[in-house]
Amino acid sequence: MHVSVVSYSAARRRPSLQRLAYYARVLRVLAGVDFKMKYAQSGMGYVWSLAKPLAYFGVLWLVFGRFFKVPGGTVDNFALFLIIGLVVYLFFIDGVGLALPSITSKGSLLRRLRFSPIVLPIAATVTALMTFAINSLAVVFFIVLSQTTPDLRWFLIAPLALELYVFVVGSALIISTLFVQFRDIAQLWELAAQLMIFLTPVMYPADVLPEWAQRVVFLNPLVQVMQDIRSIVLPGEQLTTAEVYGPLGYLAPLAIVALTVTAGVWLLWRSGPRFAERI
Amino acid sequence: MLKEYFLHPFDRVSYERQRALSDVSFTIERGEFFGIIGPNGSGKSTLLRILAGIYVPDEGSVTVDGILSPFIELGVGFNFELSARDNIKINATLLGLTRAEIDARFDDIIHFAELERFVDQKLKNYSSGMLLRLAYSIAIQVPFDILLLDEVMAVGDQSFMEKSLATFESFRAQGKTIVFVSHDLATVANVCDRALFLRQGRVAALGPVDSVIAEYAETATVAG
Repeated sequence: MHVSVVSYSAARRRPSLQRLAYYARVLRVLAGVDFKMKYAQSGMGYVWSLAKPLAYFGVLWLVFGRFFKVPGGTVDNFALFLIIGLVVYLFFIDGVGLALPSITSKGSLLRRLRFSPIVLPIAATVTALMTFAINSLAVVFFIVLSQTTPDLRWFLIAPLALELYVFVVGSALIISTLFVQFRDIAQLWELAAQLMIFLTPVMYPADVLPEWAQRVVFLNPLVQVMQDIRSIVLPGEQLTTAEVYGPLGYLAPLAIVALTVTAGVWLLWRSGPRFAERI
Repeated sequence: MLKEYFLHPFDRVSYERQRALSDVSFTIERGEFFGIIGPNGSGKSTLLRILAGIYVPDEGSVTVDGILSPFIELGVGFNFELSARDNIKINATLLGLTRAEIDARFDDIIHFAELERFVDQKLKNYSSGMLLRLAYSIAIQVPFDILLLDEVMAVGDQSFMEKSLATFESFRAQGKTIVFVSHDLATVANVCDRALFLRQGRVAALGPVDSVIAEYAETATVAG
């Protein structure tokens, strides 16, 4: 029988190991429920989770691979080129989009239980992660189709994916916290999400951008990750951060990722305890 | 909200500060059954939430020695689109149970709630009485030292009231502590040892349950 002395004062308290284990269990349950509700309820169910990115892909491939003939090498390569960019982009959009209402929609939970709100946006990103895993199967499909042989560099995909996830988490924390106070964020996000597919080189190669634009765009961690994965997997030259800024250039997007997470955690830590009263 | 900030950057945002609670101090002993009574709006729910760590007090501190199980509003985390089976997993996890503990206690939970026939039905088909039975049944499975009960219990029928009173007896025998917020003065008098009468966020009376209830009744007749 475990007994704990818990003291709540206006000052902060640090979570114990037991508490962290509790949050891990809650995280698993919440993410599982979210995933179930998102896909098991609709008629198409899990099929829809794959149909959406494939539909996106189909249209973009048709328009930018066939009609526009964006310089991107052979058609096969363009398909793989496109699906990589799309999966990275969709993971970010999905993760942040799900996180946006994650705290406010669970107001009933926060009002009834001593609960650290940070679990909610993280649960949302885990749900997005599951979708990302499913989408990655599509990438694997195109890799197999293009008959590329993997080499040692492919091990770098793991840390890149991790960097991407951390960036998604940081952004999720920021947007979910801001949304509690500023409901307008939802409108801003909707716009940003739509513009972002053009502002990141999802369907066009980064080298069509003028140099000044390249320098701006490669500050974005999404672009850095997207291009790095492409340069690892695809044959031929892809523009990466190393070409635009030199190897030290990686510090910029990495710093942005670190900053995003720090800002997110700080925002939540500061305003979190009052959420139960606000929502 | 953003609009307001931009249109009126020079206006100072003013709030009317309302104190939900003032100078509320008390100690609850281990094994005590403690009642909190008072008119609507007196701050009872706020106080309970501060005890549960849901609200953070602006001033002062709360020390809780033991595991606290809050039963404030029915079934935290209940998702009405899912079955009771799924909801037990969700709710029990939120209340602190591990997967192993949930599996071990699952049958007891269903049995106490008398919901064997409805386990796989969606919660939206349940009556409020069934929901209460289910929620309470899960809450008492958590190995708590202190149970916080808010006015939810009122929804129960006679059979449930008897059942829950019986559980109180076993809690008393186990030396557990109960904090009971209620309008049902009869049950408070029956169940509690000491009580706190809260009025407009202040302690109006604190002491043995019968005298506190008497004071409450007095003010009620005077005001009404």
